[in-house]
Amino acid sequence: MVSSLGPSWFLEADVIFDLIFFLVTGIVSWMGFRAYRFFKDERHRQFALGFFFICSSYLLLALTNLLIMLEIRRLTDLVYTWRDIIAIANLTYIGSLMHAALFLIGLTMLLFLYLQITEKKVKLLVLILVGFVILHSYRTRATIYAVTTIFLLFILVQLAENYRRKRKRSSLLVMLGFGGVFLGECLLLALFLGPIFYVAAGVTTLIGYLLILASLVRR
Amino acid sequence: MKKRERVEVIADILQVVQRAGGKIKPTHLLYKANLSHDALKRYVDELQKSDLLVETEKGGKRTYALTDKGHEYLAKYRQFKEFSDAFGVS
Repeated sequence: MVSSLGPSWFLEADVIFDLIFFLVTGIVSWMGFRAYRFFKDERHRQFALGFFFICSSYLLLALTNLLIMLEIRRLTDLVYTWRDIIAIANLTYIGSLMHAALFLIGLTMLLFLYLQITEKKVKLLVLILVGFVILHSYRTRATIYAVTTIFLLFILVQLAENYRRKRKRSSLLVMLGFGGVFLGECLLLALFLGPIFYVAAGVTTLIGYLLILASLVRR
Repeated sequence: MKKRERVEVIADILQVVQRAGGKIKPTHLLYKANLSHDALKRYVDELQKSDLLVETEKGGKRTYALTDKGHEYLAKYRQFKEFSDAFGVS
């Protein structure tokens, strides 16, 4: 049976994982907007918006996986046709592609923020290049994963530099958290080796987001 | 002056008052806030209007005291500063 990108036994856990990612990134976005209201600083708005897109991407993914799960459950008791299988495959493809697109938009906003790219022409150039590479790619999804991995690596380097300067527990947790998310994206690149890499990516990303959540808890 | 810097100056002034035990003499505030007399006066007027700082007079001696709203402002400032530092946004 064609299911989500991971093994079918992982589908329920996958929905829960996506909802946790949605909650954590949603909290970060909400905190970012509150910080923007307090400081009235454009960087905070950009940060909050970036996380808002990432949070929306996880909500979309959770809903997609939930629909797939319900569809598979409905079909187990019935005789299913190729049309059903193609419908689920299409749902998986469109859902994961839309998630990746929203995730990439959010990540691009964070990348511009962390690399302090303010020049509109440079931003436009990056967007055109990314769009061109993805649209002309033979394997669209794998290319998006590759681009997000590269973006995450650049953000991670900036967060490592931030930790080196601040030497705070919270900045360490955020750096390690993004490290987990980065590692998760790396594992998704190895998805062609087997669906178990999807599970490994999910678990690694979960650890990453839990570390980010821990950074928000005040001691 | 950018808005971001303005918030930090306000937080600095309020922190000076808090570290002094919640009350401070104008001369001590001027010395510790590291601002010019005119700039400090502008900020203090603004903080009084915003109800973050209150001026009291006892026995002919003037002091500035932190209000409850001032304490709340500082708590929020620290929370968002910690958040910004953690994510490297500041």
